[in-house]
Amino acid sequence: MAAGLATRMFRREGGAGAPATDTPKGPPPAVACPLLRPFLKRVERVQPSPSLLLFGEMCGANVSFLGARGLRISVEGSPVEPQAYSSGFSGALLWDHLSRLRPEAAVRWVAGLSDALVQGGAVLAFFPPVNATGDATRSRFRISSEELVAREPVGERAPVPGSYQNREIIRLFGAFNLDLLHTHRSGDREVLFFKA
Amino acid sequence: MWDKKENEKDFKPSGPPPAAPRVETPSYVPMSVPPLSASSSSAKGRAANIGTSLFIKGEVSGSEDLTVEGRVEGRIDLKDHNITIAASGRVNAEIHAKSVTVVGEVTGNINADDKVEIADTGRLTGDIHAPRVAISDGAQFRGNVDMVRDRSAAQSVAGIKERVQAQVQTHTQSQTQTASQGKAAAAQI
Repeated sequence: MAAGLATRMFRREGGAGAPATDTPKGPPPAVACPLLRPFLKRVERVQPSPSLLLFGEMCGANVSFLGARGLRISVEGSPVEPQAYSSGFSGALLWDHLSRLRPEAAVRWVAGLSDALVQGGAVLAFFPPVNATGDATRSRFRISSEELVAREPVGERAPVPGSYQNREIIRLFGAFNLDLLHTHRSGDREVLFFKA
Repeated sequence: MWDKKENEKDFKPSGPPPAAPRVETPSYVPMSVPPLSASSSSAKGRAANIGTSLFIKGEVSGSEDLTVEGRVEGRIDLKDHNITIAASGRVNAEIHAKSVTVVGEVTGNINADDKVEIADTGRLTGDIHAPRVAISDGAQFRGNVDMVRDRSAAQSVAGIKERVQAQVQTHTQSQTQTASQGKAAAAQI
């Protein structure tokens, strides 16, 4: 009986004997992104015709989703200094862009971002767990709804330049006010700031 | 009725019956894109093609669909028609069309009345102004996207929404006040 149960469990887990076709291959499931809705609400009430800066790995579905809400989208896939952007944006969706920069570059980058946003403009950023070290793949964040985001690994593994404690994140966004911080079970953190 | 079935049976081939129903494949391969010469346009399909060896500098306008496989610099204006920038196409121009599909490379702003589509091999540097936008994963895009057809109209709609919400709020408040006054009066009685 117990052996039979163990076999069934083994099969369910897809053990060595299981054929490769048994493992479901598809897009990763969407997970909760509790700060996306408050971020969008903030962005939409800052200006009558809100505009949004999009960073990180390009995802066309996000452009369609956000554009359909009436937001003017500006896509900045490459890590250009934000000083180069025109100002007057209502918000910036950074995803995990900052965690890909060296800490000193991140400080300059956030200062430039502050100039690009209007008063009250919001920023949503993701940071990996505090003790994340070594290599990691970049992620493409695909918005499924106002509360759900699927995170898809993209490209080859690259070293993570540094990890941030919560207080270091708050210090990094010195020109901003912290609105909300959410820590996922995985240790990933979502932070929502707005320009003071 | 029975005779009909018998007739059908007669038409069946005399070989062994197939094990499972199968879909017959046609003996020809249908072509999805009709072959078009660089200089001519098909009057029936109303589509033109700028071939790989062509380089046009200036303004391209017309009243039929267009596929760009070569190079265009300047301006493309196809008001009610579709344009496709093929994989080999290189366009450095402002584009105005009904629908724009980018498979190759475009530098310049796109203004579409219906939709803009960027394939996974497509590269676009410029702004998009269209009510519908589809960007495939892997596509390269840098610029702004504005999907609101008429921003002033959208703002007026937002204004109306706000006013309606405010009116509903005041109405609810007044109703609550009336109810509380009524309760107080009833308690006095």
